Amino acid sequence: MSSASSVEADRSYADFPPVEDVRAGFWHVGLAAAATWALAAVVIQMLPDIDDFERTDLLAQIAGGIAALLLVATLAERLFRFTLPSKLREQGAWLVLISVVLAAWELVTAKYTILPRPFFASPQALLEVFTDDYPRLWDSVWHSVLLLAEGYTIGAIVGFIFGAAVGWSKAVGYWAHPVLRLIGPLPATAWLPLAFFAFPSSHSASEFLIALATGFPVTVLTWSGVAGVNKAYYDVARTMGANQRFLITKVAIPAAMPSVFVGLFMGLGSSFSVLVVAEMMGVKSGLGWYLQWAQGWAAYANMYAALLVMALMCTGLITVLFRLRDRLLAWQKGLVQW
Amino acid sequence: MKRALPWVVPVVILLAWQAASQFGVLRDQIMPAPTAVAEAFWRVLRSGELLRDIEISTWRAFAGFAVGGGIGFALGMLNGLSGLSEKLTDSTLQMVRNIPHLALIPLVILWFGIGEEAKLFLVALGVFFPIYVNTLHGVRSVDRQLLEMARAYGMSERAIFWRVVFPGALPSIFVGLRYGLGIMWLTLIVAETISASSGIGFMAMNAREFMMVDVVVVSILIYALLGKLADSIARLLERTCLAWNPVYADV
Amino acid sequence: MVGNLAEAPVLAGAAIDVRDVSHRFDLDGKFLPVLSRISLQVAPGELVALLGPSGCGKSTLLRLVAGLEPPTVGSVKADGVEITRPDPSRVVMFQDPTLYPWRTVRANVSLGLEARGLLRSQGHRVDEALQLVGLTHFATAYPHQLSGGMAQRVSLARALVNDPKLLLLDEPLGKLDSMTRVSMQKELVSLWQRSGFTALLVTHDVDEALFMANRVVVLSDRPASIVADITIDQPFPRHRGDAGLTDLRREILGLLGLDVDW
Ligand SMILES: Nc1ncnc2c1ncn2[C@@H]1O[C@H](COP(=O)(O)OP(=O)(O)O)[C@@H](O)[C@H]1O
Ligand SMILES: [Mg+2]
Repeated sequence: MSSASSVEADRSYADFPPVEDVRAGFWHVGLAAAATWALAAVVIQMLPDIDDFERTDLLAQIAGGIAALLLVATLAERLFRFTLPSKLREQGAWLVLISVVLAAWELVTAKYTILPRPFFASPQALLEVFTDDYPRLWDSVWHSVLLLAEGYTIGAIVGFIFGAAVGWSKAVGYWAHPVLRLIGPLPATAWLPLAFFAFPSSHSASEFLIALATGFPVTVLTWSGVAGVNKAYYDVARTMGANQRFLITKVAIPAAMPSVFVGLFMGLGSSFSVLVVAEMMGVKSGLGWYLQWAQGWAAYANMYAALLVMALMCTGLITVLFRLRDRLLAWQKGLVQW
Repeated sequence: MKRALPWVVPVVILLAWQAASQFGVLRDQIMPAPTAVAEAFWRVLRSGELLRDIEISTWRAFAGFAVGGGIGFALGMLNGLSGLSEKLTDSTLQMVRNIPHLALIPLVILWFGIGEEAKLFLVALGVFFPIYVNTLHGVRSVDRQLLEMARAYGMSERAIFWRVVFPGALPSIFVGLRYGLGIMWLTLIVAETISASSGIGFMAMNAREFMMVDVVVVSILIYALLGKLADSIARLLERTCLAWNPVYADV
Repeated sequence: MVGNLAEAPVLAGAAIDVRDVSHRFDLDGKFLPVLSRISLQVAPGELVALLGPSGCGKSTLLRLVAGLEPPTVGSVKADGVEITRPDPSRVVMFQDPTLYPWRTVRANVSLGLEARGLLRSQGHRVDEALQLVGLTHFATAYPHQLSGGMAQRVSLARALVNDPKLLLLDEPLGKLDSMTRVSMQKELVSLWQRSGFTALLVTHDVDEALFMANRVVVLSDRPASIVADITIDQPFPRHRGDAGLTDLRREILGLLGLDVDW
């Protein structure tokens, strides 16, 4: 009897093999990345530039610094037996790739000008924009974010309320439907020339356009979200004594939230476009204006720098929205979380 | 009667707008009366200016769409079918996607000047991403079981592509197509407004310079009409191509 | 702790009086008659099963009694008062658990109290209801983390928290696997015996009706009318093999037009 049960026990253990050493091994990729960054630093520093670039030394120092940090991290992990954040370790291949791209870019621009000169900027020229022109660049980012935040917030709120009203009330939906169908296919940018006439300042015109670009998708998706709520959800709440208000705020809106977020994402994407254009055409500040200013001077490096900053800004804002969604809609995910 | 009711609101708005202009509540510089807009429409139509501009804008829109959409479709298919190709290109594309393509206008002007290439490039770039992303997504979401069944029946890879993968991805591709059409007009409006010497956007810009608000409104209406038309055609295509799909069956 | 909900009935069940009710739906101008002259009296504390072919109008009848819809013709009364709107004293449990996926189990069970603004003062009843259905440990789980049987139990707790005088059960066990179904049938019966509410149980499972109900009301095809009203005198707990039940089973199946050969 007892032997049988011990066999049983053995078998159940066999289902869960003994836990291996979970500490990750030596970070070979990290060492490789250190080497490629060092190589990039050497390429930048040692090969002669085609022209006098101000920031070649700084760029080489940065590349060298990254190489040194990676080397220290890799070796220290080995020697002192701690584990680097797994996030960092996972990015190892990217670290290698970035250094290789940097070196290649350096070679085809600053060192051998294989890519035609004014059209393509070298890495150190970009770096120079960041070190020398940062007040203006920073100021532009700030103004862009401010304008975007104002317009986006207004658009999102109005779109949400309007969409919820259209989805909830048959009467509102009945009247709003043709209006939405009429305005719907018209891209927000089509209003540009008119908005600058109709609004007292180009700032308020831009705000309106951004709000419109955001508001439309938010309205439509809130509407379809609210209209698509499982009718049984209402029955359940009604039999338990819920009033209209409860049905709207505690049933319709939470149930529509996934759809609302789709609208918020679409709105964010199109509001970026409108923001840039509004800044180019009307408001004389922000990244769009910076780009146009750089165009006036044919300052390619500034333009690339501004585009890079813009990519970071947009990615950052989208990431923030993603985080917010994951937080609010945690119930949607298949994750266990107690 | 029932079908006419929803149009009451737009008509009332129109009448109120006319009245407001008539009694000077709305100044002409801000919003011209509907009749003034109609007159302006007639004027530009008679002069032949309008048709020429519509023609050139439409050509730009569809040429750009064909180029951007074609590349987006091809790359989406390729990356959907080949893991290697996706590993190589997808993350780069996703990064570039975050830059609003209209931000490239100044750069494009420096590169191409204000010729046709600039506009084609912008439209193509704008259209590329929605089509690429939705094609990729469509291929990815083709039912695995259908694929396995097709293999089990010994279908050739070619036949699998045309009989299983492509039809399976089609609904998603159409989503991208319609989204892309929206972006196509959006882009063209801006591109023509900022750098062109012909086209509807140019007409609007030019009118703005000369404070002819009525013509500005006309051009907006034309854009709305063209946008609606393109969307309707896409819907029609969608419905005929996807008749097998239960979602569209009762439409 | 479990006391309030589970012990001797403080509130007696409601008496239901359905009188000459007919109902039809308007489908794009065409009328679909669903109920035809239904009269049904239910005494307080009874558990009556409504048995009928699929699509005959059982759910519709339940919705009328719940007050979710007014009958086209006739009257429905609870304790002598006309039913015009839903009321927390008459709670429905649907075939699908219809839990709100964005709320945790506890928040789902709290629904009725929250809707009536009683959550602050009577929140303890939520925990009692959860304990009653044995899901205390899952209070913070989300619906997608529950099995079908657990979700239906939560739905039951959500109904019970309102102290219903009438529980309307619309095929509540219809989608469960047969083992879970049998154990939940037992639980429902013992709960009903303890709490004394009146219950209307819609089902298309003859055995379920025989196992659980005081009375079985058999409905015809659509438009539904009452074909038979059979009282079952067997004491609880019942057993599936009980001699009296086998005969009843054959009789009811015959009424439903299904002649059994085994
Ligand atoms: N809201 C409604 N509108 C129109 N027809 C309905 C509605 N609800 C139910 N019906 C129809 O009424 C009939 C009875 O439905 P129901 O009461 O749900 O049957 P069951 O007995 O299966 O519960 C069905 O034919 C159904 O299609
Ligand atoms: Mg039913």
